[in-house]
Amino acid sequence: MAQNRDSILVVGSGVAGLSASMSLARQGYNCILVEKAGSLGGHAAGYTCKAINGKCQKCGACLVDDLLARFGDFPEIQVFLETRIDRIERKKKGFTASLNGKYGLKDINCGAILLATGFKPFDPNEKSNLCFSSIPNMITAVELEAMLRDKELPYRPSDGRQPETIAFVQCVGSRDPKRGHPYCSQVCCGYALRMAGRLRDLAPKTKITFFFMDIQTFGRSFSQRWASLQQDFIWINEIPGDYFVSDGDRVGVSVEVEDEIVDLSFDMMVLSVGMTPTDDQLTYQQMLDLSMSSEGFMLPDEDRGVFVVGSASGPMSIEKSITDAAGSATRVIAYMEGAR
Amino acid sequence: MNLRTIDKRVMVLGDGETAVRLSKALNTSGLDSYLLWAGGTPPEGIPEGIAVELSARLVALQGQVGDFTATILSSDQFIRKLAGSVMVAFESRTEPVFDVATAPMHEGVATLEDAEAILRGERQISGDVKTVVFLDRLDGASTPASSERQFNAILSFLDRGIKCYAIGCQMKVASRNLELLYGRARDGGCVFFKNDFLSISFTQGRPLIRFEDLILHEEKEICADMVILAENFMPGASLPELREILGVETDKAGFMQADNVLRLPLQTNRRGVFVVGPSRAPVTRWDLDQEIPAAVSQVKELFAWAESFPYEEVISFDIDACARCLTCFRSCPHGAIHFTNRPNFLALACQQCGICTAFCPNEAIELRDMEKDRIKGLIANERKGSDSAPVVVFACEKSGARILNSIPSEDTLLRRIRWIQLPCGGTLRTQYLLDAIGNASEIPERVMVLACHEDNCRSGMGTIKARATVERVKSFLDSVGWNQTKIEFISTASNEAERIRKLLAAS
Repeated sequence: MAQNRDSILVVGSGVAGLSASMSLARQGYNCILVEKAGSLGGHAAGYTCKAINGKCQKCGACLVDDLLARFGDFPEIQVFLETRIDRIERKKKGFTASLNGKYGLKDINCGAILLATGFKPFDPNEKSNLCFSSIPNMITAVELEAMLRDKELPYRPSDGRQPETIAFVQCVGSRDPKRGHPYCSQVCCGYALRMAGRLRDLAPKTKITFFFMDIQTFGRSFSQRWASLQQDFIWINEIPGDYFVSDGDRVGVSVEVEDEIVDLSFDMMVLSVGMTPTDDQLTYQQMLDLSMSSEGFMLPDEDRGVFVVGSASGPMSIEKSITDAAGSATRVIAYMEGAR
Repeated sequence: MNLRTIDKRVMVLGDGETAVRLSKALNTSGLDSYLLWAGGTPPEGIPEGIAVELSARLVALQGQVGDFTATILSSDQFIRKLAGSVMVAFESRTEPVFDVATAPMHEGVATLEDAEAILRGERQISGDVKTVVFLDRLDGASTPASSERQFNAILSFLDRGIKCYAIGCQMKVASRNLELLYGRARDGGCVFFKNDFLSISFTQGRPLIRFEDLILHEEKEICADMVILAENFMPGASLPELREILGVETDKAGFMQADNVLRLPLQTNRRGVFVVGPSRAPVTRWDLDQEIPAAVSQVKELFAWAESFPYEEVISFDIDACARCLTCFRSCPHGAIHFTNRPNFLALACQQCGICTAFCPNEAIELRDMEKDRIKGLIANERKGSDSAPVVVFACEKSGARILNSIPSEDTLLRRIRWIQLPCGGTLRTQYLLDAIGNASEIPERVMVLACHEDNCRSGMGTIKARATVERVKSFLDSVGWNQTKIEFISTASNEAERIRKLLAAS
């Protein structure tokens, strides 16, 4: 299938990078896939299934396994694991990228670059009022994903016990223009409510509270399910300001209920952290002379052969990353055909 | 390589912007597109080279990817067209979010569509409008697609110096740049209220809205010149009939893609039939901008796959055993069986789920490498192994088998189980479960079927069928008083290894 064409460099092997490189390969283009981690799959490879009582909740986490299973059909995609890009040089035609990693140093030529470098989960230490590092039983939703995937049930980091009361705090690091995150991360309501549903299914006695601003619609059947979700959990339309250790190992918060400040405490607290740009973003922006979007993510320079796909371009669900990857493949091919 | 001959023309069905943009994108990328246009006048901006059939309606579609034959009713004439792929790209309908808009419509109440017509200059506002209230759904279940329209309208009204209020329950901002659009409306002077209940009355011809602001807990009263109702996106009017003609799944609301992540991004249960934009789901501008080029990639990938698909039969069919009962035709989830005086299996449409083989009452159909004798052999051989296992598992290749494959071979758990991989839970025949118990030198403690979670089955109904088969065998064994073997159906996904390990270890 491989024709006499320049290769396309795909950086990052999460949902977007895998989808894009396979789409390009199926359309007859050579791809070089560079991944800084030791395995393919990105963040979603560590997420849990959120099915409840034998019914899929459409989180899409298992699609990564599907993508990886199909990836085996594309031996022509060159993969560089544990590899970073030191330098990218623009040529008269295309680019030369200097790879540095597991397989040593290597310069590769390519006709276009797809940055599928993904996102960084918001680091709660950036918000000092959360006191994240001093409250042992406060975890991020990403940690909960891994906990449920690896151990099936939630446990408290302090003593390994199963929590009976859990609070989710929404919009941590999202919808927060003051800290440079002036966007909704789009995925947090979906993952938090799906995981909460799963927790209730696995341990029906667990009491779950949500602190929230607005619950964002997710999935096709939200309007039918929203009414019952309101019954299943306790809803507090406020994001607490103060967080502290309570009763030795519980997580306490202060909230205003009907003009009075009330302290509430929970066995465990889950922060629904948003999506933020990766630490590498600045490097790529400088290497390729890219600007930043009004949401703070990378903007592509498609006329000059640089494409940004998936959550590297802004918060995006697994579902949207798959669509975006397929769409980007068409634009990359149009560019490659024009550049020939 | 001997390539198949694939018709690469794409038939686009539509009635608006999505279909026009899609046809153009296909054309630009080098594919011939053919636009089946619902309206009587040709759409604007269609370049030469794209054939357009006016007042056209699809009435039948036969064949498979690369070789579809469409029967079309066009201006009272039946015509036939050939195409390699079909893309459904109708616009959605809109419906105001409150029934206050139904008859008799008060002149002070407009829908978002009316408001957009006013902004485009196609309709006049009666009287002097200084204050406008935008009403969103109050049940908290609006969509980003509908709030995007609302925010844009608010910004246009603010630009004209009109005072704007917006009342909604949960503002939806979960799409690219939508929070910024919301911020611009707010900073531009629109006052947003959060509320889940209100009353509208009319005083001296003007709408008066009373409600409680849920953030400040205050009673509010706004007297406006005009109330503008947000709108829900509904499936286009032609979709209910079209889905019957095409034999494709819909979601609960009637949009033409099942609520199944395996159909992403734009696929249906019928290979080669795609669904794009507002026919698929309520979409924002950004979504549509991605979906149109994605459709181009999807169809080109599919054509490339079809071209290199080998000329081998994937189904073996025993014509002497066939009773022409049509069960296979009716049970195939992928439109892969064309019935003449016998079933014909369309190789490129078949997704090899094996559901037809399990439904066929005479066992006249077999999937290659999944013939009943082979499965029986597998069951018997596994059972005759030197350390015969107390647990027999049938596992779908997409979920259960992926988990079992990921268990390291030195794991002692594997010594207790014997497993048979199926292409889909739907392949499971009643007989296999009985064989697993009866054809054994030693009776197993457990027979488990590990198939996908409901709504996460590639063939839609495969896992539901597997569950039903297990239930049937269970009740049969109950009725004969057999209690030595526990038969279980367990639904799972490839990322549930820990859960399945625990279940297996519990025996």
